[in-house]
Amino acid sequence: MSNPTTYFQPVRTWSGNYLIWMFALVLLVLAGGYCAYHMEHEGHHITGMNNSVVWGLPHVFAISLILAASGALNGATLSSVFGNKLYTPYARLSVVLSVCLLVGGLIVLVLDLGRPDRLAVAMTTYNFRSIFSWNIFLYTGFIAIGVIYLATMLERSLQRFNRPVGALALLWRIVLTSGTGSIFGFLVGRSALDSAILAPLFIALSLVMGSAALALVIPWVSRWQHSSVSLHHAPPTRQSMMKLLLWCVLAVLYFSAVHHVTNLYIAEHRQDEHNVLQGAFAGVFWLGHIAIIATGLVFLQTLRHSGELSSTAWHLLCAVLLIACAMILYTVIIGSQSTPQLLFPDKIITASSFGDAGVPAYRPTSWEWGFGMGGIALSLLLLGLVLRVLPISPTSQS
Amino acid sequence: MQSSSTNNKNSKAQQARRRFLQKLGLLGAAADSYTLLELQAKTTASAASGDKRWGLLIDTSKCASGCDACVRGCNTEHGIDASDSDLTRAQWIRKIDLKDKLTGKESSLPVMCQHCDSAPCVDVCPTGASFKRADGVVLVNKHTCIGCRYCMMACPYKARSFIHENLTEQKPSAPRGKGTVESCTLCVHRIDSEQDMQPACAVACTDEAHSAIVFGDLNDPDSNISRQLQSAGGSQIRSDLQLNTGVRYHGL
Amino acid sequence: MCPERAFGLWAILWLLLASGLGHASDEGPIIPPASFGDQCVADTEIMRKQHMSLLNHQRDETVIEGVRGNPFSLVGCVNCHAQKDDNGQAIRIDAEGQFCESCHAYAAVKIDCFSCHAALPEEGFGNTHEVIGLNTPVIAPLAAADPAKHFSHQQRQVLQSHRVAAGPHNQLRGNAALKNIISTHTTEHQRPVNSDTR
Repeated sequence: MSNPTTYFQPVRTWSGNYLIWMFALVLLVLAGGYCAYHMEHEGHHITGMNNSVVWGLPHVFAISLILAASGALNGATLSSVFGNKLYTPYARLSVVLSVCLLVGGLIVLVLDLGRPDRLAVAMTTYNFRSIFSWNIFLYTGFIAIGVIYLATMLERSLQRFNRPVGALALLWRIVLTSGTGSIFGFLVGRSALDSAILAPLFIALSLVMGSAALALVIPWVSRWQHSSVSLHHAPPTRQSMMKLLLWCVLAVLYFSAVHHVTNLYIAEHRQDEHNVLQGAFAGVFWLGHIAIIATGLVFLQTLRHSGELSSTAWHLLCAVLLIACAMILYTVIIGSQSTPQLLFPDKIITASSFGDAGVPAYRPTSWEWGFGMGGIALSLLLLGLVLRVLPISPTSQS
Repeated sequence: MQSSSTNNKNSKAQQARRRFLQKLGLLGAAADSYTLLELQAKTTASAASGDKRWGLLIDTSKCASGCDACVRGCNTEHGIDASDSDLTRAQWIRKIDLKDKLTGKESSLPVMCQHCDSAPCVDVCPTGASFKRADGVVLVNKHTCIGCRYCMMACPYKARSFIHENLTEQKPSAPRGKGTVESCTLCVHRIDSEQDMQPACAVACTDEAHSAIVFGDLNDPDSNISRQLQSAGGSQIRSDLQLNTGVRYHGL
Repeated sequence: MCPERAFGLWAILWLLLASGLGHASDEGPIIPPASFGDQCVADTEIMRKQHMSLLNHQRDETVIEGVRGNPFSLVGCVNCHAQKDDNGQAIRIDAEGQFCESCHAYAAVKIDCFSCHAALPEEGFGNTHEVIGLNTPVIAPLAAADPAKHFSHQQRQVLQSHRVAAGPHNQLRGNAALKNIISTHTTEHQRPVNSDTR
């Protein structure tokens, strides 16, 4: 709560709740690790990925985690850069969650490589024309800044740096998310992706996903801590978060609308756009957008009547937002690869062995699901471990 | 090497134990250090030269629908198994049959790596494994390829393949392996080795008496390919992208 | 001390002891002899210590710059050092007990070459009459013959340091006949065409 008697403590309990969570997460991480190992050992043919859909479900998980990581820093930014005291109790948690999500996402990204054993090559040989190379610096730099940022919160003598470091972190994550969006935004060969608007769209998505992830993690943590400070007991914080989420949801819808409506007007993008709106992944596309719109409407109604949402409804809606944003990412990443690349605009392709006439629908296998879930579990496991050793979780009764 | 059979036995046991430890990964991690590549003036005369630009000219009027001699020639040359699933197997070169939307005219042509001058795959590769040689041939250095597949996302021609499975029985001249990306090399191992060698697809097409694929130096105005380009003309696939491809098509 | 830690310590201790004891009765690896020739492209001492360095330098030159035909090629290693079984079939050079594997197992260093590179010799290598002459020792030092042509700057440095260390007798030697075979050896697809077709 915003009251001055907030204390921060490590999670000290050995309560069944904490242990069960940690145990379950370890199991999930092990399962995910096995899926990744199996994929690496057998090759990517055991996944749904192929030479047409080259980035599959693991990428959706990885990018979701990375975007959520960037957005999860919202709490800390609002507290230390914009001086919003409502978020101060959650600032530390916000930073730790952010770094843990990023680590989880990067591990998934790396293990999905064809040769993850050559990570040393990726870390030592750079091609600076590649946005991918820049992202390696942006990601590792973000982790470093996150650690320093956390130090300015934990260590009294460093507190005067809290605001400048917070501002740097804010700037950094805007660049980071733009960089992640630009991985997809400059692919001239794929008309569904050939648009710079993907960078701001990714920023909007990251703000929604990160805020929703933070909102979901807060009660989870306070249950371990037996703390009375949770969003359940802090209606002002929840209302503020709802407002924040509403704005971010509007931003997602705006950029998505601009992206897709303009594509309908660009003749060479029209075929791809029809595929997005009506093709194999149209269901995912529409469901994701409708879920986001519906959640936004619920938030709007709640705020207008200044009524409160029940805890269950609030957390459910946050989960819906997370999944809906992941679905939108799914259509951006996989939907864009599911249309044949247009090589001959004036011709109809009557025969080809390589999917030039049409790409079969991508079906992720259970290996990919297990692998991706393992990445999420790893993020949460790291979070649980950090919370255990550092005074991160807020409590009002010390 | 070993003087007596007991020594031999000891050594065998030794080696078995070492093999076990090696599998555990307990010994010899990173025994071979990576040597940083030094780019410097070459003293060897036979390096690929920037004076040349290798390219192909494909005459679609000579290319027959249903004929895949070039594809088979390529597969044989590089030890590519064409019996696997079309979705995941390597396809360095593929045949596409086309029908004109306006006139209904049918044509057939092979599509492979177009060896772009400003290649999108080279731009996006995070490690620089995807690179363009001095003579314009776009290649993947599989020793530094980490298998991220970003080049496949970026390629407008869908020319690259990712190796989805373990491979065995590779050809000595065409190393290929799981987890890396590969594409048409313009048969560099052939054209580098000897004068007047041609890529396997061009040879196969000539053997089939179609002679639809002409290989040569685009920078040399007297080469066969340049003379044919001058007289008959040749266009690029997706010329709107302005990638200045090394592979040109006549009658597209 | 908690039991897990105690177990971990015991395991480490056991491994240390095991490898230490093993070292006492070390006889070295059993390396099969080469199938062709009696002289490698460089002296055994150089090859033992520097083969990866030599291979890596040449590899980068070949892949990136298109320099071909230099002596330190992996294909060359396999061609000469792959053994044949009783039926005359070539055995993979990375199979257990074979040339690369025997020493790498001894040194406990994983080989990463043959997941991509052919572990069997080139088709038809050594089946022709050209093999005659391979067993003749070649004394002409390759590097002395034309260092600028055959070696890169880095390779020359590596070799130079060896020569200085080992004295004048330890000259780098090459097998001209071997080189001849490698360069004249042609596969069935390699058909020269008229120069005017280019």
